Amino acid sequence: MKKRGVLLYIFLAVSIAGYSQFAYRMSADILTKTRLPDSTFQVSKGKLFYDQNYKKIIFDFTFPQKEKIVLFDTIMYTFRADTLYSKSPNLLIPEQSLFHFILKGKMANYGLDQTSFEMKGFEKKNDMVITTWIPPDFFKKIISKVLVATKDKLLYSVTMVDVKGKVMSRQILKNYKLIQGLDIPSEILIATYLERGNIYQIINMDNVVLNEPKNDKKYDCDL
Amino acid sequence: MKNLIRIFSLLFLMVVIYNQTFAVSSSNLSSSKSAIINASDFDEAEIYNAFSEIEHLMKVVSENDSATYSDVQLQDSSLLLLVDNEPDIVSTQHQKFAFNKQTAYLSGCIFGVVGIALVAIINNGDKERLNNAIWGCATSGCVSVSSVVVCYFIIFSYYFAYW
Repeated sequence: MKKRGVLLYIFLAVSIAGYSQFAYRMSADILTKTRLPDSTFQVSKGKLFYDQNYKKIIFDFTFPQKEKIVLFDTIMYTFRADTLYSKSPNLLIPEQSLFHFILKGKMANYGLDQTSFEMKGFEKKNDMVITTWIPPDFFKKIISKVLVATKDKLLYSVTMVDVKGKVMSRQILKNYKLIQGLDIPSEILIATYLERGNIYQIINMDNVVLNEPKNDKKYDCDL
Repeated sequence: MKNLIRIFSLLFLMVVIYNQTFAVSSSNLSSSKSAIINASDFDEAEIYNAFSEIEHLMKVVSENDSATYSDVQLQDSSLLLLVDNEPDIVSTQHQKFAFNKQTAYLSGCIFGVVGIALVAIINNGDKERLNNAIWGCATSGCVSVSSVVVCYFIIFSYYFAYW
């Protein structure tokens, strides 16, 4: 796994409030920590900017070093001292990111209802409703199902199960905060189970600001 | 009496068929239930406990907005003993050149032993690429030898023909 590692998916349950329909940009303080299978750690801290009109996810990191990462289309651009440092392929397309789902209000089913995944059924367990999603044919060799659990109508967890019935990865969203009419998780826990070991990640998102009227330049970048 | 036996046999057969059918659907049910259990019963402590070794580092990073890896290293390098120097998302390394199958083969073909050595060094001793380079060298050697033989054959044939 490349050391560029985690691409952030942040889930947001849509509130019924009409204001949520008008959220077009967001910014937040991001703090991530990752434990790799070899028991080493990676830590990142910075700010996130996303505007669904510009379709660029921008991470302005201060730790481990000052650099800006821009995700646009299928490329990841790295800038240091305002100079392009490197480019590399990127699997996270901004329109398919959680930030986009948050702003569009499509968090309820993790965006799966917008893809070729098919809802198989649902089950109530304790205070959770767990919906089973079956992947399209080209994914079936890897994933047998995706289980989406909600608590109090907020997305709680997403569990991916492989063809042998083992859990491949689990994401848990917690500590939701109501910000300008939207419920936004401030903490995301991720566990990925690989043959060579487990990868654990915790992502904290604080000071979320929606629809900031100023600082347009922070939400866009000349590439 | 015979009719009674027939009825009992049919009933027994129905019970067997029913049980087999029920056994199949039970197995499906248990597989589905186990997946649901996996989704719902998970101890978050598994993830939180994984980061107990860097609690102090996280406190330093959280409290200092502008602190970088270098700053923390100067302040207390012991905090970074278990930390990978590269950031989470970005690779600080440019894409390094490495021989693929074709270029390794050509390298051996064109540069011979020097080409093989180049492939070994640049690809960090990758055995597969090394084999490609060696085959390239051997192939070029075979071509060289066979081309010499063909040339001699043509030349001597010419001499024999016109002698």
